[in-house]
Amino acid sequence: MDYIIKLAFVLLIFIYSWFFQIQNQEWDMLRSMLKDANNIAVHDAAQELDETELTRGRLIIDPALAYDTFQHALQANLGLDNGLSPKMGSRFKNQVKIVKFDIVDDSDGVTFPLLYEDSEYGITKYIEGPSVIAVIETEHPLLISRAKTQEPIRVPAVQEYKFNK
Amino acid sequence: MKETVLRALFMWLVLFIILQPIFTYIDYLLDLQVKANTSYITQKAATEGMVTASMRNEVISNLKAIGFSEDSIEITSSTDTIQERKQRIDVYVTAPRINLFPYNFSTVSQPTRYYGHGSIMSEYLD
Repeated sequence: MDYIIKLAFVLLIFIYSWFFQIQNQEWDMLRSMLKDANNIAVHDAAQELDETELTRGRLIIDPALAYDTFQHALQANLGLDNGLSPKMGSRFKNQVKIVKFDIVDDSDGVTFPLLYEDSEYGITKYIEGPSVIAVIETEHPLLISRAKTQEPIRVPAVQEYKFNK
Repeated sequence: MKETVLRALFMWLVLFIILQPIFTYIDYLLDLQVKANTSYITQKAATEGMVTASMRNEVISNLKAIGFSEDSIEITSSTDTIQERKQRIDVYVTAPRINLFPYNFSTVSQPTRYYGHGSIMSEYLD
């Protein structure tokens, strides 16, 4: 009987640590997928240039079009619906939220290179030209319940135009 | 006799405890690599307007280096022609998946392939 109890205890510890491993790996996988999707989404958004302004030699990104394109790219890359909630078959289990979407371009009257700083999301970067900056997040995957609530997975991305020197 | 049976059962448990985390970890690493390479080829395809042969070879070479056989890797794209700026390009990469468990106790079939999908706007300008 004593042996059986020890065996059950070993099994319990094993299952707990195995699930913990899977949870951590899933966190890393989702973080990686979010980062790749955010990189692609800001890339796509930065292409929505105002054609009229472009003919005048100014790089100005259309904010409404850029945001639509950004959302569309996230949906296509992460398997999300219009509300950015996961569709059937998506790797994600929770909604993806766009917590920051910012455009810095010639319409802001700034000169490049510009030191872009955002202390809230920990972004500090010299940007060389008109840029799209975005931060997205989703809930931490949960396989084993814990008293402490884990912070969401949050990833930033910056897409900038660089002028040939 | 009873003790011998219990010890025999315990040996299987020990074997499972040692092997299962290794299987899980290898599966995760391979999955991550397929997805990372999918993202890489997708972002490269944007500049060229399509997935070129050299991009395919580069990804196949990367995946071969981590143990996939060349014939088993499938790279497909939504287009074989150059897409102009702002047109969307979809890239899919799949590779055969290893067993998730040292022994499958259930009758549920396991996923057979790793899967990566990337969708990006072309930035090609003629």
